[in-house]
Amino acid sequence: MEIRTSQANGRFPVTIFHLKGDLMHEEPLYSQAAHAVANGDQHILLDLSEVPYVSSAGLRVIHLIFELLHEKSGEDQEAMKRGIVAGSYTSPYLKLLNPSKNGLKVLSLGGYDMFLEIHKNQQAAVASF
Amino acid sequence: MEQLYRLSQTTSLDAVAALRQPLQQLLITAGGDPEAVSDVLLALNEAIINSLHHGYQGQPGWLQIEIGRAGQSLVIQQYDKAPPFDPTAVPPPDTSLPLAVRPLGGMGVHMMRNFTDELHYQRTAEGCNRLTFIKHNVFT
Repeated sequence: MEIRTSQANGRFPVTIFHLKGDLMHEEPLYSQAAHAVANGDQHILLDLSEVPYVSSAGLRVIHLIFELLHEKSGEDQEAMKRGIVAGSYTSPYLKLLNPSKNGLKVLSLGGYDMFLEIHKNQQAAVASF
Repeated sequence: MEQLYRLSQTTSLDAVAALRQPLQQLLITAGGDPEAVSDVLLALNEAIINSLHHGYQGQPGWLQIEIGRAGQSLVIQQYDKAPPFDPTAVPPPDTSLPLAVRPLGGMGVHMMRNFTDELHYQRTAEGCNRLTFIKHNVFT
């Protein structure tokens, strides 16, 4: 898998990981995301435009990045719980951009699309943070 | 059953991705519906990774894959010689749980179940795990 990183600014600075190739392993994405979070990045957009296939390991690394950001943010647990109960909670720190049909099918099967916003347009995705 | 493909060899995790594209092409050329083929290959991919990652603990291991056509159905049998493991006995994950409280893992078997119409397991007399995937209405 090839990973290119870029930065964009909306209300917050957003780190965008542009992925190219099948998302079938935790690495190298997890290490790069962990490095970004350790360096203070708080908002990550995963650009899946060029990811034809997402495996269960791909879901796992998305989950791990969610956890990294969630733990680092000190997100208000009570507010999060209220959002979950209301069915309105999505991560304010991790969002997804333009998954393929296959990718979206796997994300939906795992229920990830309920808790992670999925955008089709990069500008709108960055502005949504 | 008309056999379309057979592989019997030692395989590593690194080699798994290379299997998918030629198999997809082969099955579509044989008249398979592209979306149904894609679904069943997603399931097969998870089974192969499961065998290599868990069964053979990340080391290369022997796998046999037989793909055939039975009427309109696509039938895939995958054999390994790893310790017994019955994925059909794994309880499904609760995908309604938020990621923040959801345990990691369990999605591979979930994908195997949901991207096929039938999933069967047998421990053979020869000491192999045999998984059978069936997807109906692949060939019209």
